Formats: sequence, C-alpha cells, structure tokens
Amino acid sequence: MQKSLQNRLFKIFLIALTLMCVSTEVYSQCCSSGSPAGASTFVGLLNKKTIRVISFYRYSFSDTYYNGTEKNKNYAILKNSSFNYAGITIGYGLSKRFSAEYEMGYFISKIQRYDLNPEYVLKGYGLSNGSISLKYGIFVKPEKNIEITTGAGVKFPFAVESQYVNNVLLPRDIQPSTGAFGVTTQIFLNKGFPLYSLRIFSLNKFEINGSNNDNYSYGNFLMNSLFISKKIAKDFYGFIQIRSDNRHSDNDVKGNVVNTGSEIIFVSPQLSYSIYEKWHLAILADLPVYKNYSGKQMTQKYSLAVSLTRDFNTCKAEIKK
Amino acid sequence: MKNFLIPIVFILVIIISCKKEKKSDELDTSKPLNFISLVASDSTILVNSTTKITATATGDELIYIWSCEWGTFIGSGSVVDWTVCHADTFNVKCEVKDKYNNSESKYAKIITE
Repeated sequence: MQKSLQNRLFKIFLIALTLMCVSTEVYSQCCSSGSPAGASTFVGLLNKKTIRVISFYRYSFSDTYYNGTEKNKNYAILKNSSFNYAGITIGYGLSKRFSAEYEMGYFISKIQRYDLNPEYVLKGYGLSNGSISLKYGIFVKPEKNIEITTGAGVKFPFAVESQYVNNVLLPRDIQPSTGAFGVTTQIFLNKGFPLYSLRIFSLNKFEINGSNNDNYSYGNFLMNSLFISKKIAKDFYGFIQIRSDNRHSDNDVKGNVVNTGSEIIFVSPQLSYSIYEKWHLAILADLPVYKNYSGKQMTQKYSLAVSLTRDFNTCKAEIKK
Repeated sequence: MKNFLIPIVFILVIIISCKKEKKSDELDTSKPLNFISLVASDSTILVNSTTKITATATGDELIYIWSCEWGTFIGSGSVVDWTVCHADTFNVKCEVKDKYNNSESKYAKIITE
C-alpha cells in the first residue's frame, strides 16, 4: 500500500516537474520595463483556518539594451523605463492540504522616458491583473519538514480596454493590465533542516496567457527558482534565491512578434525580520546575472521590493514559513 | 370666476404650444465636423526615428484621439510625432470628435525599415 502510494506520488511529481520544465523559444518585449513578480518567500500551504496577508511594493528600473546576450549601445530615443507596483496576496488554509490564494496589484506608475529636449515622459497607471489559485499538498510531512505542493489558478485583468492619456493611446509596454485572462500552475518543494536553522525550497510557476481585445497575447511565462534560507540572528532570516525567468514570444494576428521573449537568470538576496513572530518584514533585490533576449530589447537593470506579511491564525498553530 | 378660468387656460395652452420661430437674422454658428486630411511628414522611416503626423479638421471643440497597434506617440492634439522600435507597416489612426459627439477617423500608413 505504502509502495503504491509512493509510486503514485512519484508519477505525479514527475508529470508536474515535466510541465514546469516546458520551455521552447524565449522572447520578451522590445521596450518593456518588465513585469512584477511577488516579493515574498511565504509560499506553500497554510495551516487550516489560517489567513495570510502579504502586502508588497516593488520598484524596477531598465535602461540597458540587449541583443541576444550582448549589450547594445542605446540606439533608440527611449532612454529608460521604470515601474512602481504595489500588490496584496491573501491566502487561506481550507484544510490541512488545501489552501486558496488571491492576488492583485496596482501600478502606481509605469513610466517611459524619451531622450528628447525637453525629456518626454509617458506614464501608465492603474489596476493590473489579479489571480485566484488553489494549492494542494500532495506530500506533506511536517515532522520531516518536507512539503510538495502543487497549485493551479486563473489570472484575470482588471481592465480590458487599453489606457489613453490626453486622448493618446499609451504604448503597450506601459499599459497597466494585459487585458487578457490566463491560467497558472505551480509546484513547490520544501525541505527544512531545523538543526541548522536552514531551509531549501523551490518554487516553479508556469503561466499561459490568453489574447486581449486587440488579439494580442503576451508570451507564456515559466519561472524556476531555488531558495536557501537560514536564520542568521534572532528574528533575522537571510535568503538567497536563484531564479530563471523564461518568457515566450508574444503573439498578434500576424503570428510571433519580433523583439519579444527572453531568458533571464536572477540572483536575489533577501533579508527578513520577524516582529514578535507575527509580522514579517522583508526586503529583496533582483539582480540579473544572465540575459538572453530575442532581438533588440530594453532590459531590466535591477529591481527592489519590500513586503510585510502577517498570519491570522485562528487555530493557534505555528506560523508556517 | 368660472368665466375667467376658461379663457386663461386657453391662453396658457396657446403659449405653451407655440414654437419660437427662427428669425432669419439669427445665425447657426455650429460648424459641421469635417476631417479634411491626415498626413505624415515621412511615410517611410527608419526604426526608432520619428515622423510628424498632422490631422486637419474643422468643427466645434475638436478633440483628436490617436492610436496605433504599435509605437509611441509624442505629444497630443492635432499634431503628434510617432516612432516605433521594429520594422513593419503600420496604420496610425486618428479619430476626430466634436462637441456634439460626431466623429470621423482616418489612417496614415507608415512603413519602418
């Protein structure tokens, strides 16, 4: 019985891992300042009847053109771009093995600066996209500090019409919302070593984007990440994340869109501080260490984020990290 | 009292139902919307260079709404600059609206190389 369960779990794990590793050509947008990813390492299942609220803010800056893996001298009148993004994630433990999650975000600003005299600035802003997902723990052994969790969900736009400012349509790269629905899947693997106050975990996501009202679909997105966390002092935790972001080419009515798609590897150091073991404040930086872009594209230079997490644990169980 | 009531009502009905006739010396100052032209200074440009697009129209309190599937508009109003970061053929659309919500649209084709 135990062997057949193990075999079944292993098959599910292999299938999920295979799905997570699907990645063909990789492209991105020519003038994009990137899209925000969450800023918290509080992933995985929640204890039953626990509500987790994560609020985060992210800033990103882009000013370097790449062509493939090579830097390109700034050849366009677009000088740089940036965004300020705020988001919130609310999770709820439905049962020991099921958790639900809702996430939404707002672009405080999404800016492009053009090298003109005087400098010309375009700014988009507004609600971005949201998502609702369910997570299921296919293998959960708290006594051994092991967790394997899969999840799936739906992405939805808060705006389906493109944004105009002063009666002028903003460029696609600074539209606050994709205007399209999508589906997401994820797999989370965790192993803790309490003796060493160490934890190693991996979060992997795959997003499929649908088309918006302009018959434009942003490239599918695959993220694979590995985290190592360690308690470095009382109430202080250090994290190192190595993450690969693979974005497929965008598509419009004519097919693949040129100068879209990318493969980027980030190293993200993070520091987390626990306040009375109830609040968790974290700051992190995203530093790209490898870039490969299809065509000529403006690329992200760095990204900074801060998050605040709070669990409301009605069952008085330990906060799961 | 009753003798006065009927004539008063009769007069009121006549006053309410009478339309004000337009006098010949009162002019209609509203201008009909007429979108005359939409012209790009250069219809073939290099990638990342700009072209000036001018919309010429007549009408009352006109607004100019610019859109294109790709590219960036610099400025607003009846004259804008436009640029794009990859090569293709593009149709830049300008929709002109007047204060009565009448509208007309035109397209300017621009090729980038």
